[in-house]
Amino acid sequence: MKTAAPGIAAGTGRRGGWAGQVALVFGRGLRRELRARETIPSIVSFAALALVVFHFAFAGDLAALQTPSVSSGLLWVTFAFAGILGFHGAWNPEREGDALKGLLLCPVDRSVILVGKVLETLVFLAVMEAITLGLFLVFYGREDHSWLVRALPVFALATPGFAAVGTLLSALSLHARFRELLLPLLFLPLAVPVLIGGAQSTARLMAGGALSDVSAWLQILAVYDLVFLGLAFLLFEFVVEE
Amino acid sequence: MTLVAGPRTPRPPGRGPGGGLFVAFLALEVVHFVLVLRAPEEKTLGLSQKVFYYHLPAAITCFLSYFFAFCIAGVYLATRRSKFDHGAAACVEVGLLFNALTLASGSIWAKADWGVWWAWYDMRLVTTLIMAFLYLGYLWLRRALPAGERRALVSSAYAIVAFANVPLVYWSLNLFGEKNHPPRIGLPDPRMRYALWAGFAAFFILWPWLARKRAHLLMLAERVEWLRSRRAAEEPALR
Repeated sequence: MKTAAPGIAAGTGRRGGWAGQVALVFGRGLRRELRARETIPSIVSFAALALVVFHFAFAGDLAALQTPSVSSGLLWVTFAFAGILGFHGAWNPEREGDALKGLLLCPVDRSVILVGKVLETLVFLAVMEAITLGLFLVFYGREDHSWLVRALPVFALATPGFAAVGTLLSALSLHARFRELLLPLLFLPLAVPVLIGGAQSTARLMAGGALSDVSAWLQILAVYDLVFLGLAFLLFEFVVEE
Repeated sequence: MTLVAGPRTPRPPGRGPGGGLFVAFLALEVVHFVLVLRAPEEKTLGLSQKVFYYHLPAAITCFLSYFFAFCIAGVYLATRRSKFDHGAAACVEVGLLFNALTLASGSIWAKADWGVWWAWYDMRLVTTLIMAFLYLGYLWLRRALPAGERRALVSSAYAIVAFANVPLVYWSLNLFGEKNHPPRIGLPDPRMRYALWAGFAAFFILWPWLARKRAHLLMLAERVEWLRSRRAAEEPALR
């Protein structure tokens, strides 16, 4: 049984410091994903499937699907639901073979584990969003793709918020009975500000708006990230307590 | 049968809150109802405005209930005393009751005034709906975990996170679209103000009675669970 304890505990001697410890936890998660290739392929496949299903759900009306408000909403709904699968993927391996216990026994601050997991989830979400955006442009893109560059700050601000909330809620529901059903019930209401801000600003940018037009939404996203990262820092220790 | 107290032994149950507050609520509610009937109709909104005398007190009581749940959950995390876990859970449940009342009365008012049962452009109503989902999640979370310290810790953490989200939801909805919630209603006639104050008084008396009653029931349920687990383990202390 491989646990995190030997590698990270040994590493804290060689590469001390908080950042080094976070890098170890983060690296462990990435290495596991590169070996197993479970989470990223599955959430990308889900996102691609969702994009296809939306076409049929809207009766194939491409004109409707290409309007900024609808296509922006379609994108963010896909991100939200694929993201939920990504949260499962980041924490499910910890439930096997007492891996979580091993991780918690490491002589590191709990914030190291939290930030390592948030970064791991962030990578999963970022890869999923990048591939989904590419498929979106293929399936529903119009001629003008310039909105994508202007929308990068929106994605850059929204994704850490998703990752922080998702990581905290996944840890919170780790020992719950119907965890796969519970996580969407907990995550979606909490993600409402990000979904509103992300969808509204993306729709405005798709319609030709400038980044300054969506500055208020970017502020909400930034505040959301700060608030929930801060709450995750404060509460993670209680949530994973054995 | 004598039970030997051990570590984490639940406290013996008290008698719980009496019915005095509930009787006071009933009396005040009769007064409230009479005052609502006697209050004059508001000149622009007409008869439908009278829903306001229930809608606003329910909304404020709901919000206060969630705020208390947030505070009591924080106290639980600091002290680890189970009575605060029961208190937080009770506040959430009672808050959900008033939340439902707010949504129902808001929906009735929307139908009477705007001709629709639901108005997405009314950001306060939508915020209240999101709050309902947030705290339903709290109840689902407690249901998914077995009774004990882990459930208390996790649900307390969630109660704090859920409340922190409420102003962010309100802020984002505020930017979202038209703000069609009825404008601040003036109450020029003193009979209107008496009706509103009576509503607040009735609900502010009902709320603590309900919350304490529910917290007491939760404490009793935990004690029953503890007794069952002791019997199942065939503790020699049970004789």
